[in-house]
Amino acid sequence: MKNTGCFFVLILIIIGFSKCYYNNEETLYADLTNSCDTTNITFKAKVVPVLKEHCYKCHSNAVAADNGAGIRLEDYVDVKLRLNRVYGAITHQDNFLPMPKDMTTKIDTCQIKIIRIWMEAGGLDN
Amino acid sequence: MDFYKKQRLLFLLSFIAPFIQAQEVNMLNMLDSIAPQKVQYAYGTFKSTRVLNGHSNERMPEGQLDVRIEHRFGLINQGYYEFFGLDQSNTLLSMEYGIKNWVMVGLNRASLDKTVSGFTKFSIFRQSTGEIVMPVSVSFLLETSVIGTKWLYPERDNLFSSRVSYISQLIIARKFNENLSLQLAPVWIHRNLVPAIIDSNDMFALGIASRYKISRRTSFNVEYYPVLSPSWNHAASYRNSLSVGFDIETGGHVFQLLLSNTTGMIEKAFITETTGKWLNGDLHLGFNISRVFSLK
Repeated sequence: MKNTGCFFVLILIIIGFSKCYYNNEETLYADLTNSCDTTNITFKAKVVPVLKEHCYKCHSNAVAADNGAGIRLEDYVDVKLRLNRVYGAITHQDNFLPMPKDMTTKIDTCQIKIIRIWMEAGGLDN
Repeated sequence: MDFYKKQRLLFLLSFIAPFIQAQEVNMLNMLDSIAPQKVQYAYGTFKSTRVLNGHSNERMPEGQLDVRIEHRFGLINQGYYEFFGLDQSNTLLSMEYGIKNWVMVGLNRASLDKTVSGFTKFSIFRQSTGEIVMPVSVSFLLETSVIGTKWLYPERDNLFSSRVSYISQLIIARKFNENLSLQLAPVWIHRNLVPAIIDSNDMFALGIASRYKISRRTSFNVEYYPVLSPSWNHAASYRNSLSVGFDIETGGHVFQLLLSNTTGMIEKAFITETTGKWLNGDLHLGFNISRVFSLK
Protein backbone atom coordinates (compact mmCIF):
# COMPACT_ATOMS: atom_id res chain seq x y z
CA MET A 1 0.00 0.00 0.00
CA LYS A 2 2.86 2.36 0.77
CA ASN A 3 4.42 1.54 -2.62
CA THR A 4 1.12 2.51 -4.28
CA GLY A 5 1.19 5.77 -2.38
CA CYS A 6 4.77 6.49 -3.46
CA PHE A 7 3.81 5.86 -7.07
CA PHE A 8 0.85 8.23 -6.70
CA VAL A 9 3.09 10.98 -5.32
CA LEU A 10 5.62 10.44 -8.10
CA ILE A 11 2.87 10.82 -10.71
CA LEU A 12 1.77 14.04 -9.01
CA ILE A 13 5.32 15.37 -9.18
CA ILE A 14 5.65 14.52 -12.88
CA ILE A 15 2.29 16.04 -13.77
CA GLY A 16 2.79 19.06 -11.56
CA PHE A 17 6.16 20.02 -12.95
CA SER A 18 5.55 19.08 -16.57
CA LYS A 19 4.71 22.68 -17.44
CA CYS A 20 7.76 24.35 -15.94
CA TYR A 21 8.80 27.36 -18.05
CA TYR A 22 11.56 29.95 -17.79
CA ASN A 23 9.89 33.02 -19.33
CA ASN A 24 10.33 36.71 -18.71
CA GLU A 25 8.25 39.55 -20.09
CA GLU A 26 11.11 41.44 -21.69
CA THR A 27 12.00 38.47 -23.90
CA LEU A 28 8.52 37.08 -24.42
CA TYR A 29 7.09 40.40 -25.57
CA ALA A 30 10.25 41.92 -27.06
CA ASP A 31 8.58 42.81 -30.38
CA LEU A 32 5.86 44.69 -28.61
CA THR A 33 8.37 46.49 -26.40
CA ASN A 34 10.92 47.38 -29.06
CA SER A 35 8.93 48.32 -32.14
CA CYS A 36 5.91 50.05 -30.68
CA ASP A 37 6.28 53.83 -30.47
CA THR A 38 4.35 54.90 -27.40
CA THR A 39 5.71 58.42 -27.17
CA ASN A 40 3.47 61.52 -27.48
CA ILE A 41 0.20 59.63 -27.59
CA THR A 42 -2.71 62.01 -28.20
CA PHE A 43 -6.26 61.40 -29.31
CA LYS A 44 -5.90 63.15 -32.64
CA ALA A 45 -2.37 61.96 -33.53
CA LYS A 46 -2.42 58.33 -32.45
CA VAL A 47 -5.91 57.15 -31.43
CA VAL A 48 -8.00 58.53 -34.31
CA PRO A 49 -5.86 56.77 -36.97
CA VAL A 50 -6.52 53.43 -35.25
CA LEU A 51 -10.26 54.08 -35.11
CA LYS A 52 -10.25 55.23 -38.72
CA GLU A 53 -8.46 52.07 -39.88
CA HIS A 54 -10.54 49.53 -37.97
CA CYS A 55 -13.80 51.09 -36.74
CA TYR A 56 -15.11 53.78 -39.10
CA LYS A 57 -16.40 51.32 -41.73
CA CYS A 58 -19.22 50.52 -39.26
CA HIS A 59 -19.06 53.24 -36.62
CA SER A 60 -18.49 56.51 -38.45
CA ASN A 61 -21.22 59.16 -38.01
CA ALA A 62 -22.54 58.48 -41.53
CA VAL A 63 -23.05 54.71 -41.28
CA ALA A 64 -23.31 53.93 -37.56
CA ALA A 65 -27.11 53.87 -37.57
CA ASP A 66 -27.24 51.22 -40.34
CA ASN A 67 -24.05 49.20 -39.80
CA GLY A 68 -22.88 49.89 -36.28
CA ALA A 69 -25.96 49.46 -34.09
CA GLY A 70 -26.06 53.21 -33.66
CA ILE A 71 -22.68 53.30 -31.94
CA ARG A 72 -20.67 56.25 -33.25
CA LEU A 73 -16.91 56.44 -32.71
CA GLU A 74 -15.91 59.45 -34.83
CA ASP A 75 -16.15 62.29 -32.32
CA TYR A 76 -14.16 62.48 -29.10
CA VAL A 77 -17.31 62.73 -26.96
CA ASP A 78 -18.70 59.49 -28.39
CA VAL A 79 -15.38 57.66 -27.99
CA LYS A 80 -14.92 58.84 -24.41
CA LEU A 81 -18.45 57.78 -23.53
CA ARG A 82 -17.84 54.21 -24.66
CA LEU A 83 -14.13 53.92 -23.98
CA ASN A 84 -14.25 50.95 -21.61
CA ARG A 85 -16.57 49.11 -23.96
CA VAL A 86 -14.32 49.84 -26.94
CA TYR A 87 -11.26 48.55 -25.09
CA GLY A 88 -13.04 45.41 -23.90
CA ALA A 89 -14.21 44.71 -27.45
CA ILE A 90 -10.86 45.19 -29.21
CA THR A 91 -9.07 43.07 -26.59
CA HIS A 92 -11.69 40.30 -26.90
CA GLN A 93 -12.36 40.19 -23.17
CA ASP A 94 -15.19 38.15 -21.64
CA ASN A 95 -18.67 39.73 -21.79
CA PHE A 96 -17.69 41.95 -24.75
CA LEU A 97 -18.56 41.46 -28.41
CA PRO A 98 -15.18 40.99 -30.15
CA MET A 99 -14.32 43.82 -32.55
CA PRO A 100 -13.68 44.50 -35.40
CA LYS A 101 -16.39 42.13 -36.54
CA ASP A 102 -14.67 41.40 -39.84
CA MET A 103 -11.51 40.11 -38.13
CA THR A 104 -11.17 36.78 -36.35
CA THR A 105 -8.05 37.96 -34.54
CA LYS A 106 -7.40 41.07 -32.53
CA ILE A 107 -6.04 44.21 -34.18
CA ASP A 108 -2.30 44.93 -33.95
CA THR A 109 -1.09 44.70 -30.34
CA CYS A 110 0.81 47.97 -30.65
CA GLN A 111 -2.40 49.77 -31.67
CA ILE A 112 -4.21 48.27 -28.67
CA LYS A 113 -1.36 49.34 -26.43
CA ILE A 114 -1.61 52.90 -27.74
CA ILE A 115 -5.31 53.04 -26.88
CA ARG A 116 -4.64 51.56 -23.44
CA ILE A 117 -1.92 54.08 -22.64
CA TRP A 118 -4.14 56.95 -23.81
CA MET A 119 -7.00 55.59 -21.73
CA GLU A 120 -4.86 55.22 -18.61
CA ALA A 121 -3.59 58.79 -19.04
CA GLY A 122 -7.16 60.00 -18.71
CA GLY A 123 -8.49 59.65 -22.24
CA LEU A 124 -8.08 63.36 -22.93
CA ASP A 125 -9.29 65.29 -25.98
CA ASN A 126 -5.79 66.18 -27.11
CA MET B 1 -10.70 -27.47 62.55
CA ASP B 2 -12.83 -30.58 62.03
CA PHE B 3 -12.67 -32.65 58.90
CA TYR B 4 -15.83 -31.25 57.28
CA LYS B 5 -14.74 -27.68 57.80
CA LYS B 6 -11.43 -28.52 56.15
CA GLN B 7 -13.30 -30.12 53.28
CA ARG B 8 -15.46 -27.04 52.82
CA LEU B 9 -12.44 -24.79 53.02
CA LEU B 10 -10.57 -26.82 50.43
CA PHE B 11 -13.67 -26.83 48.23
CA LEU B 12 -13.89 -23.07 48.41
CA LEU B 13 -10.19 -22.65 47.76
CA SER B 14 -10.46 -24.83 44.67
CA PHE B 15 -12.76 -22.22 43.20
CA ILE B 16 -10.61 -19.29 44.23
CA ALA B 17 -7.31 -20.76 43.02
CA PRO B 18 -8.03 -20.40 39.29
CA PHE B 19 -8.92 -16.78 39.84
CA ILE B 20 -5.69 -16.19 41.68
CA GLN B 21 -3.79 -17.75 38.81
CA ALA B 22 -5.85 -15.75 36.29
CA GLN B 23 -5.14 -12.60 38.23
CA GLU B 24 -1.45 -13.40 38.11
CA VAL B 25 -1.71 -13.92 34.33
CA ASN B 26 -3.72 -10.72 33.90
CA MET B 27 -1.19 -8.75 35.88
CA LEU B 28 1.58 -10.17 33.72
CA ASN B 29 -0.35 -9.03 30.66
CA MET B 30 -0.73 -5.59 32.17
CA LEU B 31 2.97 -5.42 32.80
CA ASP B 32 3.57 -6.25 29.16
CA SER B 33 1.12 -3.55 28.02
CA ILE B 34 2.72 -0.82 30.11
CA ALA B 35 6.23 -1.86 29.25
CA PRO B 36 8.00 0.59 26.91
CA GLN B 37 7.08 0.03 23.22
CA LYS B 38 9.88 -0.69 20.86
CA VAL B 39 9.63 2.66 19.02
CA GLN B 40 8.20 5.86 20.52
CA TYR B 41 7.18 8.43 17.90
CA ALA B 42 6.92 12.13 18.63
CA TYR B 43 3.38 13.48 18.33
CA GLY B 44 2.00 16.97 18.15
CA THR B 45 5.19 18.75 17.10
CA PHE B 46 2.84 21.49 15.95
CA LYS B 47 -0.87 21.78 16.66
CA SER B 48 -1.93 22.29 13.05
CA THR B 49 -0.81 21.65 9.49
CA ARG B 50 0.27 25.32 9.39
CA VAL B 51 2.63 27.12 11.73
CA LEU B 52 1.06 30.48 10.82
CA ASN B 53 1.33 31.19 7.07
CA GLY B 54 3.61 28.33 6.12
CA HIS B 55 3.20 24.60 6.43
CA SER B 56 4.33 22.64 9.47
CA ASN B 57 5.49 19.03 9.31
CA GLU B 58 2.07 17.86 10.55
CA ARG B 59 -0.31 16.07 8.24
CA MET B 60 -3.96 15.20 8.49
CA PRO B 61 -4.52 11.65 9.80
CA GLU B 62 -6.05 9.14 7.46
CA GLY B 63 -9.68 9.82 6.70
CA GLN B 64 -9.80 13.23 8.30
CA LEU B 65 -10.79 16.41 6.53
CA ASP B 66 -9.58 19.81 7.67
CA VAL B 67 -11.66 22.80 6.61
CA ARG B 68 -9.64 25.99 7.05
CA ILE B 69 -10.51 29.65 6.77
CA GLU B 70 -7.65 32.11 6.82
CA HIS B 71 -8.15 35.83 7.04
CA ARG B 72 -5.76 38.77 6.82
CA PHE B 73 -6.98 42.28 7.49
CA GLY B 74 -5.50 45.49 6.06
CA LEU B 75 -2.54 47.45 7.38
CA ILE B 76 -2.88 48.48 11.01
CA ASN B 77 -0.95 51.72 10.39
CA GLN B 78 -3.81 53.11 8.29
CA GLY B 79 -5.32 54.51 11.44
CA TYR B 80 -8.83 54.76 12.80
CA TYR B 81 -10.57 55.63 9.50
CA GLU B 82 -9.79 52.16 8.14
CA PHE B 83 -10.24 50.86 11.71
CA PHE B 84 -6.58 49.84 11.79
CA GLY B 85 -7.03 47.60 8.76
CA LEU B 86 -10.11 45.72 9.92
CA ASP B 87 -12.21 47.34 7.17
CA GLN B 88 -10.25 45.44 4.51
CA SER B 89 -9.48 41.77 4.18
CA ASN B 90 -7.97 38.96 2.19
CA THR B 91 -9.21 35.44 2.68
CA LEU B 92 -8.20 31.90 1.93
CA LEU B 93 -10.45 28.85 1.97
CA SER B 94 -8.82 25.46 2.19
CA MET B 95 -9.77 21.83 2.39
CA GLU B 96 -7.15 19.27 3.33
CA TYR B 97 -7.57 15.55 3.54
CA GLY B 98 -5.44 12.74 4.90
CA ILE B 99 -5.28 9.95 2.33
CA LYS B 100 -3.07 7.93 4.62
CA ASN B 101 -1.41 8.86 7.88
CA TRP B 102 1.76 9.64 5.97
CA VAL B 103 0.29 11.60 3.00
CA MET B 104 -2.27 14.35 2.64
CA VAL B 105 -3.62 16.50 -0.19
CA GLY B 106 -5.21 19.92 -0.14
CA LEU B 107 -6.92 22.54 -2.27
CA ASN B 108 -6.80 26.27 -1.55
CA ARG B 109 -8.44 29.34 -3.02
CA ALA B 110 -7.10 32.74 -2.01
CA SER B 111 -8.70 36.09 -2.75
CA LEU B 112 -5.26 37.66 -3.32
CA ASP B 113 -4.75 37.46 -7.09
CA LYS B 114 -7.69 35.02 -7.03
CA THR B 115 -5.16 32.23 -6.68
CA VAL B 116 -6.08 28.57 -6.71
CA SER B 117 -3.50 26.09 -5.49
CA GLY B 118 -3.27 22.39 -4.88
CA PHE B 119 -0.70 20.57 -2.80
CA THR B 120 0.42 17.28 -1.42
CA LYS B 121 2.47 16.80 1.74
CA PHE B 122 3.96 13.51 2.75
CA SER B 123 6.13 12.16 5.53
CA ILE B 124 9.62 10.87 4.86
CA PHE B 125 10.85 10.35 8.42
CA ARG B 126 9.20 10.60 11.83
CA GLN B 127 11.01 11.70 14.96
CA SER B 128 11.36 8.71 17.24
CA THR B 129 13.27 7.14 20.11
CA GLY B 130 13.65 3.57 21.24
CA GLU B 131 14.64 0.91 18.78
CA ILE B 132 14.61 3.45 15.92
CA VAL B 133 16.28 6.74 16.75
CA MET B 134 15.36 9.60 14.43
CA PRO B 135 16.10 13.06 15.81
CA VAL B 136 13.79 14.93 13.46
CA SER B 137 10.61 14.57 11.48
CA VAL B 138 11.00 15.22 7.77
CA SER B 139 8.13 15.95 5.40
CA PHE B 140 7.96 17.16 1.82
CA LEU B 141 5.51 19.65 0.35
CA LEU B 142 4.69 20.05 -3.34
CA GLU B 143 2.34 22.82 -4.40
CA THR B 144 1.14 24.28 -7.70
CA SER B 145 -0.61 27.65 -7.73
CA VAL B 146 -2.48 29.40 -10.54
CA ILE B 147 -3.29 33.12 -10.54
CA GLY B 148 -6.87 33.81 -11.59
CA THR B 149 -7.01 37.57 -12.19
CA LYS B 150 -7.68 39.03 -15.63
CA TRP B 151 -4.64 39.81 -17.74
CA LEU B 152 -3.10 43.17 -17.02
CA TYR B 153 -2.20 43.65 -20.70
CA PRO B 154 -4.87 41.89 -22.73
CA GLU B 155 -3.50 43.28 -25.99
CA ARG B 156 -0.59 40.87 -25.99
CA ASP B 157 -0.57 37.11 -26.46
CA ASN B 158 -0.77 36.01 -22.85
CA LEU B 159 0.03 32.38 -22.03
CA PHE B 160 -1.77 30.29 -19.42
CA SER B 161 1.60 28.99 -18.23
CA SER B 162 2.41 32.54 -17.13
CA ARG B 163 -0.19 32.18 -14.37
CA VAL B 164 1.48 29.12 -12.83
CA SER B 165 4.03 28.82 -10.02
CA TYR B 166 5.49 25.77 -8.30
CA ILE B 167 6.69 25.24 -4.74
CA SER B 168 8.86 22.44 -3.36
CA GLN B 169 9.63 22.47 0.32
CA LEU B 170 11.52 20.13 2.64
CA ILE B 171 10.15 20.47 6.19
CA ILE B 172 12.48 19.39 9.00
CA ALA B 173 11.01 19.63 12.49
CA ARG B 174 12.01 18.55 15.95
CA LYS B 175 9.97 18.39 19.12
CA PHE B 176 12.52 19.05 21.84
CA ASN B 177 10.11 18.59 24.72
CA GLU B 178 6.44 19.13 25.54
CA ASN B 179 6.93 22.88 25.36
CA LEU B 180 9.28 23.57 22.47
CA SER B 181 9.30 22.62 18.80
CA LEU B 182 11.51 24.04 16.05
CA GLN B 183 11.33 23.72 12.29
CA LEU B 184 13.61 24.49 9.35
CA ALA B 185 12.04 24.35 5.90
CA PRO B 186 14.11 25.20 2.83
CA VAL B 187 11.85 25.99 -0.09
CA TRP B 188 12.26 26.38 -3.84
CA ILE B 189 9.76 28.63 -5.61
CA HIS B 190 9.55 28.55 -9.39
CA ARG B 191 7.60 31.23 -11.27
CA ASN B 192 6.94 30.51 -14.93
CA LEU B 193 6.92 34.23 -15.83
CA VAL B 194 8.99 37.01 -14.26
CA PRO B 195 9.07 40.71 -15.24
CA ALA B 196 12.64 41.21 -16.45
CA ILE B 197 15.53 39.27 -18.02
CA ILE B 198 17.59 40.00 -14.93
CA ASP B 199 14.96 38.34 -12.67
CA SER B 200 15.36 34.69 -11.82
CA ASN B 201 12.44 32.34 -12.32
CA ASP B 202 13.76 30.28 -9.39
CA MET B 203 13.94 31.62 -5.86
CA PHE B 204 15.14 29.88 -2.71
CA ALA B 205 14.09 30.68 0.84
CA LEU B 206 14.44 29.12 4.29
CA GLY B 207 11.43 28.82 6.54
CA ILE B 208 12.35 29.13 10.22
CA ALA B 209 9.55 28.42 12.67
CA SER B 210 9.09 27.75 16.35
CA ARG B 211 6.31 26.80 18.71
CA TYR B 212 6.41 27.33 22.44
CA LYS B 213 3.63 25.93 24.55
CA ILE B 214 2.52 28.41 27.18
CA SER B 215 -0.43 26.47 28.56
CA ARG B 216 -2.23 23.20 27.96
CA ARG B 217 -4.12 24.53 24.95
CA THR B 218 -2.19 27.62 23.94
CA SER B 219 1.14 28.09 22.25
CA PHE B 220 3.15 31.00 20.91
CA ASN B 221 4.41 30.63 17.31
CA VAL B 222 6.96 32.55 15.32
CA GLU B 223 7.67 32.13 11.63
CA TYR B 224 10.30 33.82 9.44
CA TYR B 225 11.01 33.26 5.74
CA PRO B 226 14.26 34.91 4.59
CA VAL B 227 14.77 34.72 0.84
CA LEU B 228 18.23 33.31 0.24
CA SER B 229 18.57 34.04 -3.47
CA PRO B 230 16.57 37.16 -4.21
CA SER B 231 16.07 38.06 -7.84
CA TRP B 232 16.94 41.62 -8.80
CA ASN B 233 13.33 42.76 -8.64
CA HIS B 234 12.78 41.02 -5.33
CA ALA B 235 15.77 42.54 -3.57
CA ALA B 236 14.69 46.06 -4.47
CA SER B 237 10.98 45.85 -3.81
CA TYR B 238 10.17 43.15 -1.33
CA ARG B 239 10.74 42.11 2.29
CA ASN B 240 11.06 38.80 4.10
CA SER B 241 7.91 37.51 5.72
CA LEU B 242 7.83 37.56 9.54
CA SER B 243 4.79 36.47 11.52
CA VAL B 244 4.04 35.95 15.21
CA GLY B 245 0.93 34.46 16.70
CA PHE B 246 -0.88 32.16 19.07
CA ASP B 247 -2.41 28.73 18.62
CA ILE B 248 -5.54 28.17 20.69
CA GLU B 249 -6.90 24.66 20.64
CA THR B 250 -10.50 23.98 21.65
CA GLY B 251 -11.72 20.45 21.03
CA GLY B 252 -12.02 19.97 17.26
CA HIS B 253 -10.95 23.52 16.42
CA VAL B 254 -7.59 25.21 16.27
CA PHE B 255 -7.63 29.00 16.24
CA GLN B 256 -4.51 30.84 15.20
CA LEU B 257 -4.32 34.58 15.86
CA LEU B 258 -1.42 36.32 14.25
CA LEU B 259 0.35 39.51 13.29
CA SER B 260 2.27 39.52 10.03
CA ASN B 261 3.88 41.86 7.50
CA THR B 262 2.43 39.86 4.63
CA THR B 263 -0.99 39.67 3.05
CA GLY B 264 -0.36 36.44 1.22
CA MET B 265 -1.31 33.08 2.62
CA ILE B 266 0.09 30.85 -0.12
CA GLU B 267 3.86 30.23 -0.30
CA LYS B 268 4.31 31.95 -3.66
CA ALA B 269 2.64 35.08 -2.27
CA PHE B 270 4.00 35.43 1.25
CA ILE B 271 7.56 34.38 0.43
CA THR B 272 8.11 36.34 -2.80
CA GLU B 273 5.63 39.24 -2.67
CA THR B 274 5.79 40.63 0.86
CA THR B 275 6.28 44.38 0.93
CA GLY B 276 5.49 45.30 4.54
CA LYS B 277 8.14 46.61 6.93
CA TRP B 278 7.70 45.71 10.60
CA LEU B 279 9.35 48.92 11.78
CA ASN B 280 6.94 50.98 9.65
CA GLY B 281 3.95 49.25 11.16
CA ASP B 282 3.07 47.63 7.82
CA LEU B 283 1.42 44.80 9.67
CA HIS B 284 -1.75 42.80 9.22
CA LEU B 285 -3.83 41.24 11.94
CA GLY B 286 -5.13 37.88 10.92
CA PHE B 287 -6.52 34.57 12.02
CA ASN B 288 -6.73 30.98 10.86
CA ILE B 289 -9.59 28.72 11.86
CA SER B 290 -9.29 25.00 11.40
CA ARG B 291 -12.06 22.47 11.96
CA VAL B 292 -11.45 18.76 11.55
CA PHE B 293 -14.12 16.34 10.37
CA SER B 294 -13.71 12.61 10.48
CA LEU B 295 -14.88 11.02 7.23
CA LYS B 296 -14.05 7.43 8.16
